[in-house]
Amino acid sequence: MRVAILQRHEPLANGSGIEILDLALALANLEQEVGLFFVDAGVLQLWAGQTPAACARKDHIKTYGALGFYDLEQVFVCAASLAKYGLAAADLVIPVTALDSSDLPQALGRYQQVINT
Amino acid sequence: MANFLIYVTQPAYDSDAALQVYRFATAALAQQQPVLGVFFHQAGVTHSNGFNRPLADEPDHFHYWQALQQAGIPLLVCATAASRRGIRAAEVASAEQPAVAGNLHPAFQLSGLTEFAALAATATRVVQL
Repeated sequence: MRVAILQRHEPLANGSGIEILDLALALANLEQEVGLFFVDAGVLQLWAGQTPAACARKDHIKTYGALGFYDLEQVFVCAASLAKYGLAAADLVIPVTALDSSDLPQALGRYQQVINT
Repeated sequence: MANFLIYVTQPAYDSDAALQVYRFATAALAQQQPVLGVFFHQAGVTHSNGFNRPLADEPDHFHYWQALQQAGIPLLVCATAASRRGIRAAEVASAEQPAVAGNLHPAFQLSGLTEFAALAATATRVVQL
């Protein structure tokens, strides 16, 4: 089963940051093929400059670094969203593939399920 | 024939999820399309809070959830997400802590993301509400 997870929210908007990451890992752990897509404010979830402790939150951002152990390497960000927030791929905690808006539908279309946030 | 897994992330009362899930699931069952379960995650876990109580003249959503559970559809609540949002099952007293009364509504059962992943792997379609 190929599952895409679409993260649209900034880190502290709701609980989806850590919870949707846990969902991705649970799916990958059962050998489902998972693709992570970060769009709009969702690109901020990967920003390396976050200080969750200062916001009374657990630091789950380092968990993104463990994605490789689960063979979860399909991580996409919207290039326009990165630009909107003044970020470059180098500002993110893990390597990503930046997609133009026009390429996003096709990239998403490869997956059989899309889970939204 | 399609198997459905329903994934609920929208909260109780502050969203329309309860009625939408009920309508979708009953329509699926009427067409002999199995619903493997309803999995509650993120804010969706709040549907399982046994303390939810509408006013006397307001509809009671537990009526809808109980109907689905009685039709054989498991209502699975992510235990971690539930605990974060103040929903727990009853716990007997132990050396570490006193007994906890619990507020998980009886139509629901605690579960985990591993079970969600296992069901998602067999579902034809995951429907998110």
